[in-house]
Amino acid sequence: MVEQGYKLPFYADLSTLPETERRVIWGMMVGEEGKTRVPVYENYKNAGFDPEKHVLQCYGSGWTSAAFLPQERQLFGLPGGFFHDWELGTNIKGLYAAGDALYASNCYGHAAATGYYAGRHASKFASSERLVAVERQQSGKEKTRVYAPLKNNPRTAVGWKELNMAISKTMQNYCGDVKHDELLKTGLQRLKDYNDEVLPDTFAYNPHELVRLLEVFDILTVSEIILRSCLARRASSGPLCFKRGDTSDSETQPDRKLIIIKQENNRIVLSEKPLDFYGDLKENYEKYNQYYPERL
Amino acid sequence: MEFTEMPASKPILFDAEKCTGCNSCVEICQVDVFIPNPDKGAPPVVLFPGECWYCGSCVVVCPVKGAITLRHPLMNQVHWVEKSHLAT
Repeated sequence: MVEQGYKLPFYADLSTLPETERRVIWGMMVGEEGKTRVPVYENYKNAGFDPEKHVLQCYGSGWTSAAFLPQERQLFGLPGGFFHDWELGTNIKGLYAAGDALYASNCYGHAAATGYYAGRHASKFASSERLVAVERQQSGKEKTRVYAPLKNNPRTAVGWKELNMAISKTMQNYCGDVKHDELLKTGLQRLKDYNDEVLPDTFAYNPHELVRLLEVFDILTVSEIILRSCLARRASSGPLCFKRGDTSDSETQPDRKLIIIKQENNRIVLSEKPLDFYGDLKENYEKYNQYYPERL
Repeated sequence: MEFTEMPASKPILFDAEKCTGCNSCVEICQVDVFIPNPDKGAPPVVLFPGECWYCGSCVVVCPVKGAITLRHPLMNQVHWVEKSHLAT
């Protein structure tokens, strides 16, 4: 565009739109959608911005959805998710998954559709089950785990940001663009060190920090799952954007499979399923989705 | 002696002359960045400015116009120019 004579920077120009269209953007969208009502619509209006006269500056060379470095991995959408059945139920009876938690998830539409699909099946399950009393021992154990950081010494303990960045750096170093068994195993050892030596000596000064610290504990677990899954996949895979550097084998038909990982009685259990494990789409959708309301 | 650290950004600013200390902003904040001021009637304390996600609910709920201001961090502020000033 620059070669064609357009001059940088580019601007969002609403000034020549028909008035109703201009008010849809600067009014309905910016004024009523998301979080721009006060910091953009009101503040800019008060500072003198007039969409009939002024144009908004666009930054850089254009909008990019997400620009990842080669050593960074994108964790939503394609790479993985909970393995589930035709009811979007997991291997834990009564636990259902939807949206971005699903393998090969997609956009908002996918999240909404799988959300109400799983919701219907979950509510059908719940209505057939008897509600039992809360198991105090189980909830007590979880409370102990959740509040444990508050008992540590803030002067010497590690905070959530430091542990978060350490896990992130470990994954970039040992689970980067090209996978090698030796690096993956080194990464696993590093995460184990963090789990055994750092996690028990963390601290949070307030509820905000505690929630983020607990999330970092979960990130540690998910990172371990990722490393173990990578170790289990022996061949590179184009569709999965998965590159192996320690084998020159190209992906053959037997390598095209789903690898499932879970923890059972403190043991890591791996299994495999063919890509078409779900059977006939149309037949099964009809069988498991008998829900056609007369009116929506 | 009190030591402190400059926060990454300061999204919320109070005008102490206008603020009545009603604490409506404290109640409505979706991410709990405020606590009421120990001095009754004084503006709330922004205890966690880094947690603010700039929704503007505090400004919308405030009964006194101008008592509370929300602004994006500098890097998020979009600039504009008068179209007629652009070279054609």
